[in-house]
Amino acid sequence: MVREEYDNPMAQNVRDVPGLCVSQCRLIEEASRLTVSAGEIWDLGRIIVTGCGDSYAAGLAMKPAIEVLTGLPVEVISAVDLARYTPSELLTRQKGTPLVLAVSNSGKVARLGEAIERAGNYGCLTVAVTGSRESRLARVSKKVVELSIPEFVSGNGVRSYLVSMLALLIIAIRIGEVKGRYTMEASQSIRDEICVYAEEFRNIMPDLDEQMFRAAEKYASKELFDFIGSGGNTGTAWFSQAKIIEATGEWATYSDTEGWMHLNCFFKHLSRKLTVQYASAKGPELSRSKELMTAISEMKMDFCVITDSRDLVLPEGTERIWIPGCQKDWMWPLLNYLPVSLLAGYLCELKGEAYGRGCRDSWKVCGTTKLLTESRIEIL
Amino acid sequence: MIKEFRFSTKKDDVFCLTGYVEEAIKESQIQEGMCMVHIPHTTAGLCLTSKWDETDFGDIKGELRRIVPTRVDFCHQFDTPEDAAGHIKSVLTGCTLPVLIKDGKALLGSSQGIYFLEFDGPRNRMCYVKAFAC
Repeated sequence: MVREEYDNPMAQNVRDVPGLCVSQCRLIEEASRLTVSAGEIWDLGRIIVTGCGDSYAAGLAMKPAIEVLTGLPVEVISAVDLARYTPSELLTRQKGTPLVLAVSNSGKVARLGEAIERAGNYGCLTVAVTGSRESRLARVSKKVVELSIPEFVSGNGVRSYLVSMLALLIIAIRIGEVKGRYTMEASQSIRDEICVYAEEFRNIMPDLDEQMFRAAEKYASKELFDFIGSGGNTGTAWFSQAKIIEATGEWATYSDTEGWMHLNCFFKHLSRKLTVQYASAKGPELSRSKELMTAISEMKMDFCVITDSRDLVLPEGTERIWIPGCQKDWMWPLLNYLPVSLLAGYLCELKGEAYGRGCRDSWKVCGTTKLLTESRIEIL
Repeated sequence: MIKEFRFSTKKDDVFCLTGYVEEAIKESQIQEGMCMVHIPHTTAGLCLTSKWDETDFGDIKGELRRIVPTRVDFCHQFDTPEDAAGHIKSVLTGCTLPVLIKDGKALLGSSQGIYFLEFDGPRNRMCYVKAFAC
């Protein structure tokens, strides 16, 4: 089959991501630099990242990075938990003010607005990271970092996911810099490193595109997709399962490396399943990742490893999907979601599916944004 | 000719420039005149101070920190609090230092050395030295 005949919006979005990363790096830095003052930064006690769907995954993906850069404890709490379940006493000032970073490109998601309004009422410093300053999220937040993502063909959030992660990362770099954890030169080096990483991805994109199309051909009959990643790669695994569900409607799941051995290893119908593991050669869990690879190999199922290592010895029959790595392992999730985004887009075409089932028939109710934006607001 | 020197500093370093200045004067072959030392930085300063006891440097840095503590409420928020404090320390110490030349050498007291005061760091820094005959 010829790849070009199966080109699709998700793949087009993926190809645009490296360039977007470089341009947004500077724009977000400019937009966010003075959002939180030095005094406010020095008063922070911890950071909560919240969001729904892909934005929540962006928080998971950047959690280790934010922790390393800021030196502050970081929690990623879903919007519904923050809005309705997190005890109010945990939102009040305790050894410093909690900073709540809320990510939503549209800013219209009701539950996130509700969560932020509540957190702000209890004293949190709330910052909306959103593409719309007029949105409800921006209006109920104490501060706003306005994203400016150039228009592009809609591609299941592949580009906005990058920008969400990048915004969190750049805000974290600034917090660490103001706290004196590293010099401004070092901050710039980190931002430069992000751009180098993106350029390396741009260089391998044609080969990666072809490899993922061939993978899609090979795995087109699969009905269950199982993604494994730990640390920031937990966010990547979350996002990967989301793209498969949206693009193909097939069953997909995610877990961390340890969790997989506790639970997901018990899935049946192994011949109908594709398992994908994220394994960074510099990651602190590499030894555990290798144990997992051996176990998965013994179970005799189709298995791909997405890695930044060409030397990592993989069990026989395992497909290696090589992508660039980073000096700083916590930066890897920023772009390592791209191979599966390509895979999802091509699988959608090969299976004759429509994104979100075309929001027709039984899925008609999912097609209205009212489900997300017009939910009853309760400030607890 | 303006002589340029490049060097690397550590955080809050006190870096000796005496050798660089003497080298520039020697190369100029000027016997009597003046030498201007200049640093193109806003978070660093220059001073003439005692070279014998390095604990002096700790006292100088300590007093500068006492006069200009790093605070979070500086008007200058674009960079870091440390940077804003560094700007003020730089203004207080100055970025230009004149040194007299006599008999083809820097006219320094037996205890004096020429020092670069780093108010940030680690950084890559530079200084310019120009000798004039007069």
